[in-house]
Amino acid sequence: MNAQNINSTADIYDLVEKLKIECRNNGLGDLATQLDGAMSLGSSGLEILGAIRKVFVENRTTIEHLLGPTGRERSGQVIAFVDKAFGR
Amino acid sequence: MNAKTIEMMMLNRKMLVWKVIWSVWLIIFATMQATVVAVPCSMTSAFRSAAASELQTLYQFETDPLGLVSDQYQNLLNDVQAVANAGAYLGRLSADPCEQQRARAALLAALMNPNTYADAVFGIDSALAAGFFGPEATAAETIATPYGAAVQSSAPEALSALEQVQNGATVYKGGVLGSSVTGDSQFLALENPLNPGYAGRYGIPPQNANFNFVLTGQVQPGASVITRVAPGIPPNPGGAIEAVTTPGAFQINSFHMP
Repeated sequence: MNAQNINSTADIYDLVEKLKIECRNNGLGDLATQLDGAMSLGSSGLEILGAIRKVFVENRTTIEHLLGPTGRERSGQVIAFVDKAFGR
Repeated sequence: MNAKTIEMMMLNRKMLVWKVIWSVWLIIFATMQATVVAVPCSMTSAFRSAAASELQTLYQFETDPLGLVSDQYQNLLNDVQAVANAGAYLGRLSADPCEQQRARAALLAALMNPNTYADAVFGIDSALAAGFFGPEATAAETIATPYGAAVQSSAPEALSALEQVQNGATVYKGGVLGSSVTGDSQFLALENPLNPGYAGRYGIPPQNANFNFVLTGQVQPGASVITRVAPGIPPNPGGAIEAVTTPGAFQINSFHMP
């Protein structure tokens, strides 16, 4: 996957959509379903971002692998962005 | 009235007594500093009697009208009596330099006593727990969520929204049946999710903004709640306010399926 810095919610959602495709291409349907569920949580951007962060944290190694050489960096950027959105 | 409410009432009442105690101490201290008011003995006696009576009555009426907790707070009762007795010194302090010196030493000794600090800390904790310092003091700084803590924003619009939510403003939760949390939702909006442009202002993935239900309600009075500015979807900068509260604190008034 092409590297792209995470600077906005749109960047995160784009990354998640691409990650879902990677998951399905690699037989990781459960992980894709988790990401899909996070994206569909409802009317709160914070809640959606928080759920995405949770999936990233709980599947960090897998996700970093799927994201390629910059996976660790981008995974960290997603987590940092969400933490900032939550005020942490 | 549940046990929590009774507990909070007792804490509130107890703090009232603490205020009286500190007020009397302040009067004593001020008198020691000023030492200019001459109080006739007859007035001193009357004051002593009235102060003891008033403080005891206040304690019994405000903190333990049914006598349910007297045993637990016997020490506090003793403190009240001690302060009432101390009030009797007011007249003598104003006229007797030796008495002033002894009182200063006694006050200093009391303030140096670790138990005094423990009592003060207990009093402050109780005041905060009982909301004694007003709504802003009881506002939680953070709310625990399944995704980590959400922290109160210091942005003026977030603080303004916090006040609205605490005062019963309508809050909303939109979602998709089968995918979204409903009754136990902690994340609430201050506007209807069906409003045009909502997804951009609240940072919702556009492809997932087709909500098929909307809940409206209020955050339960007294419940912990924080507010934050939602991250928008570019080019929308966001700016809409989200409220985050504890599970079960969202009191649902209506359920609507568009």
